Amino acid sequence: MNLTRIAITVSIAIISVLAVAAYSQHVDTKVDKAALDEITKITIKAFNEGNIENYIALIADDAVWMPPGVGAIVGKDAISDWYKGFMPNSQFDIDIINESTELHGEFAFQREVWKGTITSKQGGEPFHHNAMCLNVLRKQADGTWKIWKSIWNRNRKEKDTSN
Amino acid sequence: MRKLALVVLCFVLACANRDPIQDALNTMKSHEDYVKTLNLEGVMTNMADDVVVLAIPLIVGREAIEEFYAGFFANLSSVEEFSHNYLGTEIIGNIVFLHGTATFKGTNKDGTTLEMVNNFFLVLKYQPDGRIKIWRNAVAVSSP
Repeated sequence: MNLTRIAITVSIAIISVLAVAAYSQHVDTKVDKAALDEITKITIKAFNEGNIENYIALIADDAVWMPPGVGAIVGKDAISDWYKGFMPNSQFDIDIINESTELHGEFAFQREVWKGTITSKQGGEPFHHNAMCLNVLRKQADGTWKIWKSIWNRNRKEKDTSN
Repeated sequence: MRKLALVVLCFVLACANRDPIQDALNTMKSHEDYVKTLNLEGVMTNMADDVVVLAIPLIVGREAIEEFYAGFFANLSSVEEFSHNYLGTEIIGNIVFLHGTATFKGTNKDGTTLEMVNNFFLVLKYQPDGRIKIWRNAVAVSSP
C-alpha cells in the first residue's frame, strides 16, 4: 500500500469517527437536556424537603466538591458526610435558576444561581443564600447523568447576607 | 496528493504523541508567567475564543476576559506569586480537567498588597491551532 492510499484510508476513518460522534451527540441532546433539568428539579425538592439522600443519589462516586471557604471534598462518601454535618439542623427554602446548560458529549456544564433562605432549626434569623454555581455533570456507564464537579461562590450581582 | 498524504500522516502522528495533561500544565505555567509579568497580550494567547470564567463576576468571551485582565493589571505594580497547586487531573477526549488551589500575591500601585487563595476548576480544550487553552475556569475563595 503506498503513502497516498494510507492517507486516504486514515482520512476516511477520521471523518467516519467524527460523523458518528456528531450524530450521536445530536440525537441525544433533547433526552440529555431533559435529564439534566430533572436533576435540578430533584435537587430543589431534596433540599427543601430536607431529604439529602435524594440529592446524594445524584452525585458521581468520584465527584469533587469545592465549596467556598472549604478545601476540596473528594468522593461521594465524603461529600455526603459534609452535607450530613449541617443539613439535618437546617431548613432550606431555595430555588435554583439554571442560567445555562452546555452539552459536550459525555459531560455537561450547568451554570446556576441558588437563591433563598437557610434557617437553623434551633432558631435565629434566616440566612439569605445567593450563590453562583458551576456543576460539571458526567454521563455514567448506565446512561444516567451524575454531578461530577461542583464549585460555587457568592453571587455579588445582588445583595445577600451569605458568607 | 503526496503532500496531502504527508500532512494527514503528520496530523495523525501529532495526535498520537499528544500528552494532554502535560500540554495543559504547560499552558497553565505560561499563564502564570504572563500574569506575573502583567503581560495582557500573553495572557490572551492562552484563552479559548469561547472562554467562560465563573468567578466574581461571571466573565464570558475573550473580549470580556481581556477587559477584566486589563482592569486587574491596571491596579497592580507587581505580582510576587501566582501558582496553582493541582489536586486532580483528568482527561476526557481532547479536554483536560484540573482542580486545586491557586495562590496569588501582588502589590497594588497604592502600595497595598493583594493576597488570594482560591479553589479552582479549570477546563482546557485543544483549539483549532493545535494548542490547548483555557476554556472554562471556575473560582471560589478557598479560605473563609
